[in-house]
Amino acid sequence: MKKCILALLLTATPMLAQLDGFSRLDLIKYSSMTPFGRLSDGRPNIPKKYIEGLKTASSEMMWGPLRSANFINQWSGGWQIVHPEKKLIGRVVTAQFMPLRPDVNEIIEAENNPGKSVSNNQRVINALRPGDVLVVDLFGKIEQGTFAGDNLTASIYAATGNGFVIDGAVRDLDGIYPQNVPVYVRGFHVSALRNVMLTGINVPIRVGDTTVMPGDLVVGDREGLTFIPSHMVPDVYRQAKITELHDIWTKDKFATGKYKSSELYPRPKDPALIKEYEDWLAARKKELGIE
Amino acid sequence: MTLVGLLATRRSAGLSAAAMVCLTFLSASPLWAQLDGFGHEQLLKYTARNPYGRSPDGRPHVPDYWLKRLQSTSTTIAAEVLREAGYPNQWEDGWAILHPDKKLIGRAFTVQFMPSRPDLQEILVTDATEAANEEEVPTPVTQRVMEMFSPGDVPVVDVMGRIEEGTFGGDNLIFSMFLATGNGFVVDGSFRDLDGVFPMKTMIFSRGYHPGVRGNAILTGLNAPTRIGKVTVMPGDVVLGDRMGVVFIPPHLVQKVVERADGSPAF
Repeated sequence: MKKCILALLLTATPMLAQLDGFSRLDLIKYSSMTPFGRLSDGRPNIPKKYIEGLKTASSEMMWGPLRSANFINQWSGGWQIVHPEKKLIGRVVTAQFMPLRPDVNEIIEAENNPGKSVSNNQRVINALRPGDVLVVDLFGKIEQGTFAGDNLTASIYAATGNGFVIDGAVRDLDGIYPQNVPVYVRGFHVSALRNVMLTGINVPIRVGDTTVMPGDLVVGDREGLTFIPSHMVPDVYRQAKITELHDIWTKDKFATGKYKSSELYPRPKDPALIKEYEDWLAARKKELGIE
Repeated sequence: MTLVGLLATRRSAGLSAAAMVCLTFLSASPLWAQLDGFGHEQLLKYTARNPYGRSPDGRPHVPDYWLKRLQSTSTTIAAEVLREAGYPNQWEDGWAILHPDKKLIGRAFTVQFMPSRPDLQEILVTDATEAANEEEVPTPVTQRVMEMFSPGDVPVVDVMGRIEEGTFGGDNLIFSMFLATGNGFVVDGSFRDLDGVFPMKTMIFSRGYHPGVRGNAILTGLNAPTRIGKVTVMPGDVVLGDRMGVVFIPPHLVQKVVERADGSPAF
């Protein structure tokens, strides 16, 4: 019983969940495999080294190591991408919206917005900090599913230094485009955000076929988004780098025009070439400090 | 099982009031923590407008009296009353409807699945096994959930709209669910063994059928707010399904819907 009361008290510490339930303690519990420290909101604090290091990784470089650890749902496609030539990378902050129900929303608003002065999307933006990537579940809603326009896009970028992801829409694309940040959405619409309620900040969400947790590392490229659980980050980083190096070497060799496809890919066939590749790879790995 | 056998079992289950009471109490056993963290306390808080009593698990318990009176109501009338009351998002369509000549009426018991993630699954399975004091083989997820249903419930299951790998049950488990609730169910996903399910003559709303089993999904919520298409369904909402689709009626608006359908002065 004492334990129960203690647990209740602990979970009662201020949290960002709106329709409360999933607390900071839950977040710590469900990300207990993380080898890293924590941010003050409980999310794993993935070191900058990995965030910098994965800036050159493509979806495929991360897909293999995730798949071999049985994480088969971590890549998400089918996005409309504003500025696909940029990389989107950072620690995930999640937000969840659901279709509006006045009886539920009146309780959420009374508790989280007593002065009725802050709109639900701005409550989310106010929770952002540098290095975050906001990922919003708007259940694919386009009309009245516009989380941000050009002004709030500027506000998100100012807070995080990053673009963002909306499983929903944005508006004011003409004003968003010149800001040169990568934005992943399902579509665009002129309407404003309406007829929804904010049910969670930093709670587990579903984005397409992926369960996204707060504190995952998200990496976006031209193809889509990879959500890496924090405890998988070191291994994904190591293996992605090896693939990246392999691809550089292989493409350089092909460019000489001397080799047939099967002589180089997926691995060189000739013993001398194998040695050349392995020596080169070992030297690059040493430079990067990976095994 | 033959149709005759099916009906015989159904009748004996229907007669056994003691068995029903027993089932109700069993379902009152504490739920294990789910990923959403939405527990008993939250359930009471976010259904505060409920004017009726509560099921042992905390869901609003709209009395059978009102459920019976909904028999003569259509989803069209219900959706109209709800829209006028400021609830425009309670209607969901686009279903494959089994036995559309019937009506589906009962109290929503919500179940939510999400795409699997090994790191979360490990914790969820450990919690569930510990909560049930099972030392060796954990009960499969579907059976564990089905054993919580009570008479008058309508299971409302979010399997993310999946057809393949989105089957909530087949004929055996659907029969067991039918015996426990007396009702069909709503699944934003699919089910299997349609040839074995059809003779049960119970109304089911799904997105389709698939011969395979469910896979690549984890159970993340029980009696938590659950999105079914364009609707946020709350545990204890009254489900009303007819040929057109399904309306989820918040408990405090059920009487209003019934009175409109009766033409009584709720206007």
